[in-house]
Amino acid sequence: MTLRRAREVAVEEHLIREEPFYLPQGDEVEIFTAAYEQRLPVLLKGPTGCGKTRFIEYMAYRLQSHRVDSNGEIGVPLITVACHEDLTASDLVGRYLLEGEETRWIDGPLTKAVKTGSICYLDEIVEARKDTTVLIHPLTDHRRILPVEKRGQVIEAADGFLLVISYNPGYQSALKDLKQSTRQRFVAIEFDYPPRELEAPIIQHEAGVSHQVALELAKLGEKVRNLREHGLEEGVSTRLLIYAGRLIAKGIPARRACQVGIIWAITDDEHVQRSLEEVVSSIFE
Amino acid sequence: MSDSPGLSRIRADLAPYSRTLVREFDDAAAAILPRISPSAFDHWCEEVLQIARSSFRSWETAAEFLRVSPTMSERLDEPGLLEWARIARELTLASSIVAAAYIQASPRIAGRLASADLGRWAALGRRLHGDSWKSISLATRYFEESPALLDALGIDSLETFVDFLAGVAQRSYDGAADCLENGARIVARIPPKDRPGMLELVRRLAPRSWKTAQSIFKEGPTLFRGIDGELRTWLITLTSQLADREPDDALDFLKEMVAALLAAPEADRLDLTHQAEALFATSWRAATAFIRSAPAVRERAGSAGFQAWYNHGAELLAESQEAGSAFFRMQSSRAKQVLELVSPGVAFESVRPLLQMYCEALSGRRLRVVSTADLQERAVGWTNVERPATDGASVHLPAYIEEYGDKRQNFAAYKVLSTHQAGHLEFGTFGFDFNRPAAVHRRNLRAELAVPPTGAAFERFFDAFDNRALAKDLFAVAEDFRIDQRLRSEYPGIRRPLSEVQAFALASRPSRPRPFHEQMVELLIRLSLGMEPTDDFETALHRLIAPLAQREATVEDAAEATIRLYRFVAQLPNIPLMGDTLEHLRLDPDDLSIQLADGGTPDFGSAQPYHSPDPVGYRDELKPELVEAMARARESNQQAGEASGLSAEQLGQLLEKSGELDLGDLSQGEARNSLGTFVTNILREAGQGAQSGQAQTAGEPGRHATAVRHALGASDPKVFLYDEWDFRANDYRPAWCRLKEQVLQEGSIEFFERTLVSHQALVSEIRRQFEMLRPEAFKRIKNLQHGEEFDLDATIDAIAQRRAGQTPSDKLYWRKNKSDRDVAVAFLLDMSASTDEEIEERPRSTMYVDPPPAIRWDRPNGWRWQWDEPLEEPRKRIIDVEKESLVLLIKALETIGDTYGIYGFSGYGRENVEFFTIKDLDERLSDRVKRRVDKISPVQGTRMGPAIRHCVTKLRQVEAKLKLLILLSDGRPQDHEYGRDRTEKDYAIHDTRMALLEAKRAAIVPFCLTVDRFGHDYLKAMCGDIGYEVVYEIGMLPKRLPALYRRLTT
Ligand SMILES: Nc1ncnc2c1ncn2[C@@H]1O[C@H](COP(=O)(O)OP(=O)(O)OP(=O)(O)O)[C@@H](O)[C@H]1O
Ligand SMILES: [Mg+2]
Repeated sequence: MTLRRAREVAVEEHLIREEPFYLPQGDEVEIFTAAYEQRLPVLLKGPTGCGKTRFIEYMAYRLQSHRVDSNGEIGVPLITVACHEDLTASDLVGRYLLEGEETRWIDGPLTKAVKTGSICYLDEIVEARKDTTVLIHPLTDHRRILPVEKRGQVIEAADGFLLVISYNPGYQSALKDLKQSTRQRFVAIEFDYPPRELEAPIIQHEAGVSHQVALELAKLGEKVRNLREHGLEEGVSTRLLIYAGRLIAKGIPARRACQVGIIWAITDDEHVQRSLEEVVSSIFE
Repeated sequence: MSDSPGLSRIRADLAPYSRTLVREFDDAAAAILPRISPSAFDHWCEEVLQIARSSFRSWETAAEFLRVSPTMSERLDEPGLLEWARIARELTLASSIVAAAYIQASPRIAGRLASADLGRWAALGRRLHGDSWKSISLATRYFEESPALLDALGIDSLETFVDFLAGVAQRSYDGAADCLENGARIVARIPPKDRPGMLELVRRLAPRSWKTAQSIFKEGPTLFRGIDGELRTWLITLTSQLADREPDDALDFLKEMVAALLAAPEADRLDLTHQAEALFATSWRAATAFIRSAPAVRERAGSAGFQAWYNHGAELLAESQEAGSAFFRMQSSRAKQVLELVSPGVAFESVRPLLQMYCEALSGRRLRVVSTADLQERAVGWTNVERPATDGASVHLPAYIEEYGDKRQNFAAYKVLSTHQAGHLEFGTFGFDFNRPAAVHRRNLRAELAVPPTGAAFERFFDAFDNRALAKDLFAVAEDFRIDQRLRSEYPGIRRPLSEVQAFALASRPSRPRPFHEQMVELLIRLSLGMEPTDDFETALHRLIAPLAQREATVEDAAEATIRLYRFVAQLPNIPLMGDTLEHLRLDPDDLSIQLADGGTPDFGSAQPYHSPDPVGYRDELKPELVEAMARARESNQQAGEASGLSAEQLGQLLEKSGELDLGDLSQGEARNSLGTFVTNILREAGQGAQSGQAQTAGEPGRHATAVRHALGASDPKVFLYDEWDFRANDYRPAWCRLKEQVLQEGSIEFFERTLVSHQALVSEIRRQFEMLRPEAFKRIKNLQHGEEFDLDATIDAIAQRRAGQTPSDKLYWRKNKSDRDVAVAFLLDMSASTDEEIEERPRSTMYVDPPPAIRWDRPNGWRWQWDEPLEEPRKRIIDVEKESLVLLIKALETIGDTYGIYGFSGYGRENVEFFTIKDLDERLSDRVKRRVDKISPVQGTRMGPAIRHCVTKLRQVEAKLKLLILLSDGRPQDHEYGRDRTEKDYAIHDTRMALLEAKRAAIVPFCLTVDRFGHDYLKAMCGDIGYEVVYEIGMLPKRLPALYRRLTT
């Protein structure tokens, strides 16, 4: 593993320079490309760890030909905001700061995206405060404008701008559901955990394990997801399967790796744990 | 007779009593005089006088004395005679009647006893004589019976016996008399060497529990029937110890112990006594229970396991008698768990949930994993409880596996069994399609078969073979082989246990059967279990199934292989083969044709009927046509009303033709009968499936409808329909329960007010605690025009904005706001009839509490002890305490401002689930609510599922960050037809569990609180990782509930 140093980059300059590995599951790449070309906002639906973030990174990379920035660099920057319950509209738009006797306006990530024509990815949008929808609505219809109330402005979005939000229908409670007026502004792409044959190569690539091990992990994934009725509604994410794979790649015995990397991670229910351990011990020698 | 002056004085003295007395005196004197010295004679005369004088009618005794004296003077020497006379006199002083009896009995006794013992004998009579007339008759009776008694007992034991009688007599003369009367007869039937012990036993018992002593004595001879020698002595010794400890229990102990010993194998009995005796020191119940359970435990656990089991129980017993006894009775779940742990075998029950999930994970279907007994009980065609089987929708496993060495291996065997069966489902055994091309076999031989053009796949397929049974056996082996091979490649982890189980199965194959067909099938079975082919035949068979080892092979390939195998085997008739007759056959390895070697004609004899070889233990009993028929029955039922349905007659014919029903040993009539039963059951099950697939529409009462017997409702009911979870079917029964929601009637407000007053101290304590909650739990609300403090971010914003020449916002404050707590809670109160029970007033005592199952068995300290608090106000019912708790809780909730609703439920049957609103979630606390609390009262059943579901519906409609559903109950869910029958509890538990899970899925935090102190039993199963708590002491509830609520919401 080569050592990577931490590097500070302004969000709007955070370009995806290397092609992320992404294995298409269906026609999502074509759909997204078309949507981007038409500047239609996109909603990514799907359970945790199924590749939504990876997908958007991949798309950002693929769409680079669509824009050349001021430094002559090519690329569509991707500005990601992980939403949480205290996230307010001004966290997205920006605020004034004091500097000595001066004040300075700092753009929020959304504003930056709008100005620089980036893709703005609001992860888990439903977690954010309700007032953020005020911003989203004018940006996601034909107007494509961002009102900046504090400065008494509206910003018209740069051409490359696109709003993408993600949403996990699985564990949302009824009241956290997206409002129809919000939902109906997006093209929705649904993700799910890939079938065995598609998930195995992902695991193999990401975890650096043999094809056989990857296949068995994918098989395990399938078996665990068979138990949705038993309180495992979320199944097991591709991400976790990869984690287990990575542990195996580092020499941890497969059964143990699955225990700590998968079983214990997904459930505290002793009975379910025991059953899953038996599944693991059937799949792995 | 001489006329001495002494004599005439005596005559004169005697004369007044009776005329005859003098004559009798003369006769006696005449007889005695020559035998004794004059002084002794005088002495004797004196005694006569004394006797006669001593009381009003004692002259009669004197007469008796005179009559007996001559005989006695013959039998006794002079001092003996005088001693005898002295006793007679003394006795007469006490009671002339007793004395008379003594005197009468004397001649017979004199011959039996040394004269020295005569006194002892008489003294025993004295002992029995007290002061009442009853005691006189007892003593009299003693003397009458004593010859016989002495014969049976001898003087020493007689002494013990009389002690025993005296002990009984202290309490009951009648009892003593009864024992005395029958004494000799009874004693005679007790083996002589047991007599002393037995008498000693009853003697010790008598003063403490005369009735027990009496019963033991009377039953003595039969009590020990079947128990001899050392064992009997041991038993008597033990019982006598009990005499000092628990005299009342002695008989129970004896009977129970004898029965237990008799139930144990004779050879083991003495062995067991040592351990039993050790337990006995603490509790006789544990000791008998131990002997009862021991044989079964030893058989299951082996001797080391048995010892471990015993040790565990003994340790437990040392801590608590009750727990220990329950343990040895095998009536505690602990005992079963321990047994399970120490036995090398594995019980299906202990691994069922695990295997259920395992099979569902593997096969990706909703399955039921149940015991083979269950399948047999269903009576749909499988009758063998030993063999695993699958009917396509469920997996059936034997109740116990112990043949594979240790626990690990036996468990592994269960896993192999279930993996194999799940394999049938995962890899499509029952998805056979007659027309679908095989994956591995290129040539489709099925196309060449002469079969009907339509029909069910397996039926058509097997129709093509003359010998259906043979074809089926071949198919089964081929298909099992395919599945096993597939498992090997799909589940590397199962390879080793599978090989072990196969090796075991291979080693236990019977010797080769003789007739040709059977021998071929047997060879095929062995090959499928991993035997290496050696001769030509084995090689040929092996070649035929080899394609099935490929990963791609499908059930159609198994069918193709079956055709090829059949053709190979059926070349020859099922002729008996003598010795190693295969040597007389020559096999052409190319075209697999079989010829007679060297053209000779060994005499094969005529063809035999075909019998299937012994099954392979770990493989399921494959009945493809039956499974197919069942599936068809289900389907045809789902398209109800259509003519395509499978009639009972058709089904019967089909099954009969299939030959898959175990009717072999039955007579024609019986066979018809059980065929009929199977058919009826299959159709009924299929029908049920269909019924549960149809939604019941509201308004049309189902057959369970029963008039609502209680009308507590104050409003028109709103009706809701809810699904119910059927864990057997692993599916919901749609719209199964009809729930009626009503507002509860109003009673008096007094209850509410009074409760607050009577719990004043608690009320203020709770209030304090809840007020303390506020600061931490409450969040800041920002963006306010007024508030506690400036919001730094907003203020900087504002300053910056002003500098920038804009009008800043004036919303610069934040404050903590209680409405930000944002909790909504629904309390669901069990109003079932059982809450009507008065809470018992128990003395302060230690009580045994079964530990939660999570506690490990090897830590006996896991058992908890609990002091029962004396109750404050006795005579309350459970419901009253629940109501009081509610009042306090309401008070607390009002302090904190959470949204809350209070509901009660009860009902009778699925058509009448009653749901009462005491306070709705969006309702404010009012006097009306307070008045409703008063009306909370016990109604009927406890169908928890629909009530929970309804609360979920209600909670869904409110907005809150944290939603809670708290179920307060007094026992397990129970209702009319809430389960297969009245005793079944699992169904209700599973449905409730599912309802709780549904709540969880709706982002509601469910919590179960119960005052059922035995709640752990089912709560663990019902709640899983959902929170629950058992309030052991119901009196603590008013305090506990608010505390719990506090914990849950912070
Ligand atoms: N189709 C795919 N191609 C390549 N990698 C994938 C794919 N799907 C999933 N992954 C892998 O799974 C990991 C988890 O995916 P990702 O982080 O995109 O999940 P997510 O859907 O954004 O989850 P969350 O909702 O929890 O944020 C990725 O890091 C990647 O390694
Ligand atoms: Mg993500």
